[in-house]
Amino acid sequence: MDTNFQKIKELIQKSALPLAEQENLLLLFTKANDQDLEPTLKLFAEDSSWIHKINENYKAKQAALATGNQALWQKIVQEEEVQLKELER
Amino acid sequence: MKSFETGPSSEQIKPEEEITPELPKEEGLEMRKAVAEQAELKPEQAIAQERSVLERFKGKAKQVAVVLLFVSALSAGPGMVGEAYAQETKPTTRTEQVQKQEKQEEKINEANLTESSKWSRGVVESARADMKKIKTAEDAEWLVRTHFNQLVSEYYMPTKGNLKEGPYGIKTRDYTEDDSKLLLRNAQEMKKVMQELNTKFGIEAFDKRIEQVDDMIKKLERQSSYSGQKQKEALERMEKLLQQR
Repeated sequence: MDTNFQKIKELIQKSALPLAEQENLLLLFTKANDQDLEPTLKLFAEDSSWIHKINENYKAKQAALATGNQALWQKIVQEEEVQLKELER
Repeated sequence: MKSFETGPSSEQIKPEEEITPELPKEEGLEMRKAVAEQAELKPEQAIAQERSVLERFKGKAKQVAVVLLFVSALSAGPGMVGEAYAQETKPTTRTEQVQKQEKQEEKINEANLTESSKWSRGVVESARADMKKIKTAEDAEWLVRTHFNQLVSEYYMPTKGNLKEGPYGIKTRDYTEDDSKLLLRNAQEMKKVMQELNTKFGIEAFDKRIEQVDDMIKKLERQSSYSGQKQKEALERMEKLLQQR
């Protein structure tokens, strides 16, 4: 039976993300327990546009963490909040 | 609907150097440490801050919030690259070591270099030149904050080259294969500078900084292999890794 990771891998590979970004995003998920990947799989399977959005979110978070940029992190969280408020409507 | 594609302008987001202006050398290491600690983004605090904002959402928004927090936890976890990948790239045989050596010695075609990578030469050359003048731990820390931070910041939050505006106000740029090779070479050189400085003087947060440059090196190794046959090989390598799960 396919693992959650395998299913996420297939969805990401079908996406329009550039190959290097597909690999980077998949490598992020290799750090997770398979069971913990369930919400991510559900989100990606329901709407594949989330693959691109989560990838951009990941890249921004990585930039903030790698450069220790608090201001950027704050902006990311603010953007997330706006996005989630839109989903609640 | 507002999307993740819209974000603050690049002017609103300042790189670390602009947020924590460099102090004159005379101010002393202690003062600089205090400023660095004040400005530093601590992963556990960052995630706590994000959680406090996102945990109140319900329904579909909650489903997304859970994934956003999950991505943060994975991004901030020990090592920026999955353990599996780290093991996979670890040279275990002489053949692999030779392959790695050959890759590092690959020639760079100057004609294919763009402004996306050329800036890195100046940073590393300045670091090497300044290194000869370093006499104290305070000097070493100054060099790291000046040159190392510049290399890392410019890679993750580019300001030079063929820039495109991305989400969250982050600018991205395209790299030629030779750009990636040059950046890789300079990141490896900067790592050597850091290691030498640490041996002689001791560097603040050395492990964390090495982790940052290692992450950069791993990404550039992958980027520089994405063309033609190399792309095929990289995909096969990825497939092999995935099958091991």
